[in-house]
Amino acid sequence: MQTGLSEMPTPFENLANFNRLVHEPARLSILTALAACDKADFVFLRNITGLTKGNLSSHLTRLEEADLVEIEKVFEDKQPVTYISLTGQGRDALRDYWKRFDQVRKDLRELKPLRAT
Amino acid sequence: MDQHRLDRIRLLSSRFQELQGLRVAFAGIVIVIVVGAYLIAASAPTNNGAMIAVAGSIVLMVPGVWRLSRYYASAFGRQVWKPGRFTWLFLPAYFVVAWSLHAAIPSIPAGAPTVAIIVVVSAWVAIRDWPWRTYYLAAPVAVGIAFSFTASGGGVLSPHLTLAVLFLTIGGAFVPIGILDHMLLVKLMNEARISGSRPALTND
Repeated sequence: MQTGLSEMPTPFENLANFNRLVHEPARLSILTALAACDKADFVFLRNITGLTKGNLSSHLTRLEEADLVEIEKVFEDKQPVTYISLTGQGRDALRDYWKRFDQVRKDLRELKPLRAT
Repeated sequence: MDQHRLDRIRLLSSRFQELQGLRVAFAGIVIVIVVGAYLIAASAPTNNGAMIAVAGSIVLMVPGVWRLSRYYASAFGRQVWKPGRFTWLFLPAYFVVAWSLHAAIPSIPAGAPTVAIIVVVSAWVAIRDWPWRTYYLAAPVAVGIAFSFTASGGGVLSPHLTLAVLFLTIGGAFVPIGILDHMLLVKLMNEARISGSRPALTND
């Protein structure tokens, strides 16, 4: 007989179910930075995450392909500026990631070591 | 990814506008110079005169603050801040509270509610961003010192100088606070640059 308890995912299963696209440190830092503002330009994101131009660009491409961020190119004071913002889907993905993360942390804290009989 | 790095990114992104402290420091310097000049030049300084001097200093601040905003944009990048849902209520609420206080207690000096709000907001910033921006406690401390000085002075300071002294104190407090905010911004951006070059943040 299956009990409700046995159907619950273990912390390790939860860990394995993390959204890999969000979980990757560089992308997580980009999404975290964007979640705290309306939009930010490429230079700001490069400074705040410490990523190189190439790295940041490739991560942004992956995030844009997954529809987690939106990239907008505009001119300000005759200078080209690339603004990046989080999409609704991106915001949901980040919220869901932290929810899972907190759950895993909580579950791991509650884990008790098995005693040898 | 370690917690400190994420906390730093969150702080930098959510407080980027506030951490552009050279603007605040510049505003403080202008207030000190203009109010100081008013105190020296006026034969009989008044609280209303001090208020006008502060209003005048705001006009002088604008071009400098604009130039400093451009400096921050070119040095650290641009970011569009998302105001909170109820931020727009702050100014009307302030006017309602200040007006009600003056109506109920006419003896309150004209700038007292403004000073009280600066004290509360500064203390709130220090608590909200604890432990990064504890130096914001300098503003309530400065106002407290100014008040105790005027209250215990026993006639040393004319009541007509109360506001001018308070504005001088606040302007003076803005300078170190602004410089410390700027230094925190530069320090955290440098930390981000160094930590970003570590192998943990590479392509997947």
